[in-house]
Amino acid sequence: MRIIKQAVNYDTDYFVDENTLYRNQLVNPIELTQAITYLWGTQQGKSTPLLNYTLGQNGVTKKKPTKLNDTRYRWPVMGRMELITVVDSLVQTLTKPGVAGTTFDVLFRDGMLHAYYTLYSPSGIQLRVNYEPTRVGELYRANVTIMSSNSELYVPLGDFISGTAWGYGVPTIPASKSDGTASNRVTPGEATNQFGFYRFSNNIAGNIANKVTEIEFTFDGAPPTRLWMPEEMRQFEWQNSNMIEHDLWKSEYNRTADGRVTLLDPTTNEPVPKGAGVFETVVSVGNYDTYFNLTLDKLDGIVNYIYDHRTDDTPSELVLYTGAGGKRMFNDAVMRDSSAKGFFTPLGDKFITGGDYLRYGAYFNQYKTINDVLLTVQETDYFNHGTEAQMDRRNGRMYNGHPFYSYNMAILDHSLDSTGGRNIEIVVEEGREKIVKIYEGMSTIPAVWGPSVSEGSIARAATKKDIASYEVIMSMGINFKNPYTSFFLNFSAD
Amino acid sequence: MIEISKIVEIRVKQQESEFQKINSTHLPRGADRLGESKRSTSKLKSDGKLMSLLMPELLGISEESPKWDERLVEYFGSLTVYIQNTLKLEVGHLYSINDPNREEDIKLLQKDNKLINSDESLANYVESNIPYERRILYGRPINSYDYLVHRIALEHGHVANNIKDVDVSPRIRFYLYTDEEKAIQLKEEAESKRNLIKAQSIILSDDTVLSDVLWAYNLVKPNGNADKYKDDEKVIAIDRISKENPSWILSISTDKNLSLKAKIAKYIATGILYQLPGSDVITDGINKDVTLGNQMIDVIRYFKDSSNAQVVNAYEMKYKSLIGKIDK
Repeated sequence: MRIIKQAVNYDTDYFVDENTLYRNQLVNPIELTQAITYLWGTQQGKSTPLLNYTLGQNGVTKKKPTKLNDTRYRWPVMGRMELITVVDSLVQTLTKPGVAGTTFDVLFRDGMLHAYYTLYSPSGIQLRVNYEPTRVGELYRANVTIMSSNSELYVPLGDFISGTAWGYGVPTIPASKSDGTASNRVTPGEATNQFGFYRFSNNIAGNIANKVTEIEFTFDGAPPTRLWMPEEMRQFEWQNSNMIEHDLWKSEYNRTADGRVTLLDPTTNEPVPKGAGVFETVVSVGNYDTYFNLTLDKLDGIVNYIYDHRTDDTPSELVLYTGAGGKRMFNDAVMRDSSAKGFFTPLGDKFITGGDYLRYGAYFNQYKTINDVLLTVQETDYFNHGTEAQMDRRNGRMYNGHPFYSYNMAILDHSLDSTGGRNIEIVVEEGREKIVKIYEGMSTIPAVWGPSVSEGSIARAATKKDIASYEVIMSMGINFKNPYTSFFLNFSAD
Repeated sequence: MIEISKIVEIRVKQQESEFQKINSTHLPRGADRLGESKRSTSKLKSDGKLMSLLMPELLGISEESPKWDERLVEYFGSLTVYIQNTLKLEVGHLYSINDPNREEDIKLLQKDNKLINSDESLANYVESNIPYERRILYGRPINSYDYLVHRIALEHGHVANNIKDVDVSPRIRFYLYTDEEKAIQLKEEAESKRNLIKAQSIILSDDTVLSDVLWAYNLVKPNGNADKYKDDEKVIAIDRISKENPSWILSISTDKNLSLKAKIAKYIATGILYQLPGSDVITDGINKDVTLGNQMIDVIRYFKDSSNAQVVNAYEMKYKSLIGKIDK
């Protein structure tokens, strides 16, 4: 066997024409076979999980921009009703606050306390708020007394460390002559994100539309062809969807609080809006952790935390996305746990099978937590072969044969929300979801681009040059109505 | 037994994104988490002595247990430290000359230093001469969990070991902060405040210097016609500039070229010279192709160069003729 040509060439020429095929030796005789050996597979795997999952479930919301170039959108959110107040400091200089039934003053950061409320200090001392607290600048001053009749009791000074959370409870009053008090409430607020725009172009020249190669290309559900353009468009669409997928994960919100988009296109001086992607959204609420050896305790901790934010009975659809590395870590975690608990020996016949020649190997990809959550590993090529994974491979950031990125795990909550919509949605601009147009010149329009715009014996062209281009504009962003129920677990090699 | 306490804080690096800022009220951030990293785990687990002295208490089993390795992997893998803005760790040691787990190492120390004969002398010697990472050989951590978290943080790529390194890498999410660092920071702050007050007094004690400083600030940031300021306004302006740009006030108070800089600023205000916006580049006011200097130091050199005396004199004559035309 001899190598008759370089197997992979990357061509970044602006226009694709016959020269592209000659330069890359696609029209030279191929001696071995006409079927291509795809060194990295056909790259048609599951590399766009977000696009597949959201669009597949019709999880798309169309928004009309309110102003020119303003792609922001808002959605109402309701916080959690809590019986918590945060302490700022002890007002008087005391060593044993509250001892022998003495009253003292405490500054709190919020106005959650009202007259006669019960207060629970972190060390478990119960106190009573004697009067309606008074506002002192940004703080609230409450006069309090320990409820217990034990005169030795006092509140430890450690309970007054600024930022410590105290609990509050039922207002208690004497049997007669009492006055009224007040109550608290949580009101809805609005969260904000925005979408951005994408632009893709495929430029051709001359008669590339009808050029055949010495290689036969096959496509799912279509007869094999030697025409180059179907393959060109397959790659064009693959690149576009993979670039979009990556952006949906990694995009960063770029509008300042006063409404300015910091990124300006220097040619047009127009703002280039970008919304928060999966990573920024989840990290912004603190749902981020690192790991090196995955354990079930770690997964339990994450699931418990996620479910701490779901006290309703809406069905859950948690999907654990990861790559081959993460899948292996998941299996190792379950194996280690089952081995530590002595379950592994009885399960031996599940892992070692066969007759005279034995087979060793069976793997876990599901874990059911104590609160009945079934975590299923969804391996996706985004983590194995996406942009970050490709950079890891090239930069030597590998562990056990997989790029670091393939060990990362994202637990995403695709559940339905209370209104029947999806928690994670693609957001697009109404009317500009995806606009595709052909900029037609003298170049022949390939069938794979769809019908030519011009018709009739003398066609019309937009340019007199022997070129044409396939132009795409898209608006898109991703949004989590409730970001607290998703989590990013980062494999940390550093 | 002697207890030498040492408090270290792990602080969250404040790096709120625009998305967080805009949603901070309705989507508040929870506690940040510091989990395992390959580097910290590998480094600590490769130190067998550290593991055998520290981990039995945390794992609840001895090193001889057949489950030792497995439990170590599980413990490090499951560890998540929750940090709500800051977390204080007790990373000090308890020293006892008769500590049975450290007998051999203490004896080796005594071999080289005969004065180590009590808990106190052991504590003093170790605290002054032994690096922090090796003190565990001679003293038991006061709080084993806090000590482990600190050792993990010291090796973790997401933690800067001091506040100065916080921007070294975009991966850094936390930094370590000690009382010593706090004292140094306080000292530096006090020193710079002291110098600033000294600089302000130099400026405010001389009317000409005061006026020149206000003019010269125009070269850094548009400050308007300094001659129009009333006395009280001048004092307030100096206070404002001190807050905006304290390092500039410090340097200008002893700048030998102050009057020349003020003059250049006046020439710019009258259109005799032109300063390229947002830069130090200064050109002739009419012919902008004639650059006097790309940096202030070049412009000063131009004015001081005797071969340019004719041009400089011409600028001065022109300024005198225009002096009444500065925007009032």
